[in-house]
Amino acid sequence: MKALILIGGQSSRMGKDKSHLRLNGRTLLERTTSILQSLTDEIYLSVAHDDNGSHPLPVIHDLEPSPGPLGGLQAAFQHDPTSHWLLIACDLPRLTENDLAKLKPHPDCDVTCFLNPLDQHPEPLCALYSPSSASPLNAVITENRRCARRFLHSLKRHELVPDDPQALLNLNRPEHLTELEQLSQHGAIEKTITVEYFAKLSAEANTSQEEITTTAATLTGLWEEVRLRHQFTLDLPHIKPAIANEFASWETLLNDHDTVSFMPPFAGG
Amino acid sequence: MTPSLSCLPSLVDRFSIQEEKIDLPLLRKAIETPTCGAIVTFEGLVRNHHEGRDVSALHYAHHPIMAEPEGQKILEETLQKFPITHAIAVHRIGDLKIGEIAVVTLTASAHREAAFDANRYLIDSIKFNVPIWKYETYTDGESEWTAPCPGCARKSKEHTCQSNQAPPKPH
Repeated sequence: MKALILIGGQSSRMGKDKSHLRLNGRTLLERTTSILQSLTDEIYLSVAHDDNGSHPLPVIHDLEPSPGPLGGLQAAFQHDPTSHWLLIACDLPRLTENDLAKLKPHPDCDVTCFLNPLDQHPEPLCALYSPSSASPLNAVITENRRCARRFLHSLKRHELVPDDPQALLNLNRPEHLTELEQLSQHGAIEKTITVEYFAKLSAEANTSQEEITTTAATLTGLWEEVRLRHQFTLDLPHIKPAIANEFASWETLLNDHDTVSFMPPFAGG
Repeated sequence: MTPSLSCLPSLVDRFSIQEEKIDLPLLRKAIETPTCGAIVTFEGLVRNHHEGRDVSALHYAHHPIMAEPEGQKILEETLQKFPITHAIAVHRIGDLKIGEIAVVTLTASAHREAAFDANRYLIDSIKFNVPIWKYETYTDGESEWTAPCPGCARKSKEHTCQSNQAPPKPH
């Protein structure tokens, strides 16, 4: 088994390359590399086709400009068509070595992957692709169908559930960093929170209020949890949160028995 | 129920939310004082179209605990920011008919400029900062919670940035 780390480019939402983000003194790339080390000796970075920079690990160049994550996997199979390839995004700061070690090749399956416990969808960017997936991969790329999720759905999958329900939480926004820092400082503490939804959110959740047991540390973590649970169509920047009926910042810490309101954009007048 | 005249002072310098129809003459009477030389009234009406679709009915919902205090904060901010004597704002919730007043803002000052400026500030801030939502039913039978239209969203940004850009085009 070999691993290919997707370091991606600029994250528009983060405003910088996520692999360099630091969490508890380590960059996300260093963290990802360290949890991979006991599983495989051969770890590569997926880089752009014209990348001439120096990197801490051996690299595999994309075969063409901006081919997306599937293009990275295609280049990996060109590098070694007989190996299983663990494709892994570097922005999964909750993922542990323990959970990652569960990804083992399965006979008769093209891929071993996790079902994200929060939304029950299989996760394409933390999955072990077997050599049998190379040919369908080449086919979808030739047809310019580059959605990794759709590609994963088309394969014969062995699906697993990670121990940590938030194992596949990905880091997309600055607010997520605070959530993760709090989680690693204080641990995952279980709390009971009353969550109120308004307008469009209550329609999508099919309820205006629910009691949730969560280990989220801040309002951000709670929002990401309920967003996935109810498949909300609005993203964090469009939502205003409140605790105990006062507007609060996304970084606000949650306490047991808090009442939280999540509000979509206001439309009075 | 319409408040009786003896309740008038309680309307002044207040933001309130009500299900009942808005009694504009009553508000107009309540805000008037001998020192005021100008009263500006803005009426927001329920219109029969939204982004190209025909609207047949409209429902406003609010955050039952936060909406009134947030509106009151905005009203008090307006009173501090502009040289006006008084301000009143009322927003309706529940089911409204086309043509009915959904929101009204009144500002009174010695001279017209302050009343105009304060009124614009007050209504814009209410629209973007008070947790009230609109549920529209269309003539084709569909209905949905509506997002603020793009023009309003732009204005809301300019507000928070305190920018000096040209005002957005009317929409």
